[in-house]
Amino acid sequence: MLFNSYAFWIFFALVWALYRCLPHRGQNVALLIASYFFYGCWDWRFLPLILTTTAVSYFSALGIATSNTKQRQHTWMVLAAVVSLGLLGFFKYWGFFAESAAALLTALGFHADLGTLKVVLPVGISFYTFQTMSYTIDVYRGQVTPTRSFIDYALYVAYFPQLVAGPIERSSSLLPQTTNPRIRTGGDFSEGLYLVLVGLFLKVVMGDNMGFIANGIFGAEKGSLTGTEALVGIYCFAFQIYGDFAGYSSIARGVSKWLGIDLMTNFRMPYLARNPSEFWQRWHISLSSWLRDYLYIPLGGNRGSSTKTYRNLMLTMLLGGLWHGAGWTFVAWGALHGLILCGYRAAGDRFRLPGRWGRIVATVGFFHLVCLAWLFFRADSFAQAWEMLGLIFRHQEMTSLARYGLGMLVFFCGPLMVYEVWLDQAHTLRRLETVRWGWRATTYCYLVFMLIVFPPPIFGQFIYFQF
Amino acid sequence: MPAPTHDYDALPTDLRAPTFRQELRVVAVVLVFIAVLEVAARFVAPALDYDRRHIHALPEIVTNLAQRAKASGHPRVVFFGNSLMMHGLDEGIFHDELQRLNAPPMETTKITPVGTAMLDWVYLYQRYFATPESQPDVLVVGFVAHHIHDQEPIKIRRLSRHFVAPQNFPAVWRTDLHGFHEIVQSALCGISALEGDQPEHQLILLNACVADYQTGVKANNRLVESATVRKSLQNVIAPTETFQRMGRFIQLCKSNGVKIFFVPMPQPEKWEVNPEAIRLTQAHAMGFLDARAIDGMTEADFSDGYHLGETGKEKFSRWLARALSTQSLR
Repeated sequence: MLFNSYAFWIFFALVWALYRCLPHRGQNVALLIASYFFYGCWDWRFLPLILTTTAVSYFSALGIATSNTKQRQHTWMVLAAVVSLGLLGFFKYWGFFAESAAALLTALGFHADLGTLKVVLPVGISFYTFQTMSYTIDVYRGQVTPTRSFIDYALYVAYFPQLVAGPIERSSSLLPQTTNPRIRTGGDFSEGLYLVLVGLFLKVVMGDNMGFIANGIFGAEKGSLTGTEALVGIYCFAFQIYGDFAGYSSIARGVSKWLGIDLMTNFRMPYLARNPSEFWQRWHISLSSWLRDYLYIPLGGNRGSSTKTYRNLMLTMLLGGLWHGAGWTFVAWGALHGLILCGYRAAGDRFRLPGRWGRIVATVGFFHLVCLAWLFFRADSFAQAWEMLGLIFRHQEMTSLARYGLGMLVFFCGPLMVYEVWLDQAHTLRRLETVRWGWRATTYCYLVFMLIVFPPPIFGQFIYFQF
Repeated sequence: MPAPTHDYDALPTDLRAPTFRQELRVVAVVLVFIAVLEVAARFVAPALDYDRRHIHALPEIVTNLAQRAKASGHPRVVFFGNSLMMHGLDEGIFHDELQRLNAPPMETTKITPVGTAMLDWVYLYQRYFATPESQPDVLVVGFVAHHIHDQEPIKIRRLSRHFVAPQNFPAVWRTDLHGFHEIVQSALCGISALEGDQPEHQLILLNACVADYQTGVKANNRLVESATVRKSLQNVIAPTETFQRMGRFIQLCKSNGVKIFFVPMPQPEKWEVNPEAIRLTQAHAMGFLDARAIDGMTEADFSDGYHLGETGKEKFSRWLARALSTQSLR
């Protein structure tokens, strides 16, 4: 049940109508049933998996809270981590590691058959695994008091707007909202409407249309592209993945707002970032803050020597890459971002460009570094990535395909980027809510017009469901 | 100095988000805007392109043929199909050839909406030949391989907007569309010109706004298709072609006493007709006029490697007249 499908909106309307009639506890039960139904619509066979993860982390957290020795608390913590990461590792990474190990052993002259399994990846497993882990870690650290209500906790894990593609919510933020009665504010409807419309625009209009071009260019046979076409393909993918993922997050936040529950902001105009540090405060914020709090800082963060800081940055980004997918190109993507972060840390602000034009140059320049990393993320293989990269420097030629791709980029992404610059100048994502209603109505008319007239040629899945 | 941090999720302190009642004005404007778009889409629909003009003229074309046939008493022949038949047949040359051959005259017309295939023809026939007076005596259906098998993708918007009669929607949803999303989209296209004609609106606007749109999109389509083919060759066996839609079309015409001649159309290279399709036509005693290898037809007779050009049109029209003149039409 995709957010951009009619089925989802009918499902949501029914859930919302029932939800508004129920008292607080009834609302939680209804949301939990709706969430499991939503998840079961993807594949009902994975329901026991999410239930297992939920139950293990719930009882582990209670075990941690009731244990009177650090040793016992540690045991509960390890149990929760082993089960969560074990399931994630088996379903997501078994095939990858088995194939990689077999390839390595074969290269060393050993015959190895590690029996790769064709395991179907349960949708959203990376998201809810990280969410349950953050809960048990927070309880272990004494930062969060575990809930005794299994229903409230199960709802925290399976809450349908953010279940399959985030944002990865923290228990300190979402759990109190499920535990306590909802507080409705006058602006919920307007904020929800804004988030849903912008999210649908990002996904359906920008992400899917750019995806169609990126799929064509990345699917081209070797030797059939020019460097300009390759570059256009990378730009298109950059906006595809942004539209796809930011769109999903925005719709998730919007529908959740209509249910009276706030989800965290996951994207803040990421392509306006001028350096890697800023980029990771704008892109997939829920994951980057998770990696910071549960991996980078426990590894030592920037508290030790420079070497240790670089090591921690690299490890964090490598695992961040691996989180996105079981493949070496994802690891390379993480490594590139790690190197960019290390480089930025080493250079500091010594190369900061002054003035407005300096900021523009820095933004455009850093966008191209991000695109370089996207090339490895999207490419089917390293060979393809290297070939496209080589073409960009060797064979620039403006073809009709490149002109079409650039024209589509300007047509679909240009207005959004202008709008984001306007938002960024005011340092708020909610600037549109503060202008006269006529301007808002005009903007919504534009969004609706684009949604009706420019849906993609192919009905698009969300990329991040595979992560 | 460190850059100031901002709470991007917060509104400025002196401002509040619009309330539900305030926001209803915005919603009302958007709804009125959609209604205006729908009216505009309905207004421009008959003149969007030559294909729309043809589709909107179909009731008149069918009535006109019935009146002419009633007046002359000649058999009614409808040349049916898509752009292959549209570009391939010149009715003037066809009749000229009939006259030259001293063959019995016939009343003819062309019904050739662009990009259509067997499922479109099933519903188009049901919609525009619904009454006994409108039934032709003969349908001559031009096609190439993919037009007649069930694996041809359905163009839901076009099918639902232009070819399915209102009373036939339940049949489409039951038989041909799978999945809730497709059914809702089909229903929306049935009632809304804005939804149903969306691909044409998109094409016109992008043609006007994006440089090299048509050549670029064609190049991109080719890349996507070839990548899909490569992947499917690696991963799965191509599905077996089935012909249930064709069977339905034949049954429909047969029950109305209409004779069909299936005409595999000429292409620059001779192509294979699935023997299952030939067996189906034979089982129902329908005609099969093989135009795949007309004497003297060369690659130069095609305008774009797919459709017949001027010289090819003349050769095919004369060939078809000769082929039909030897057949019993009633």
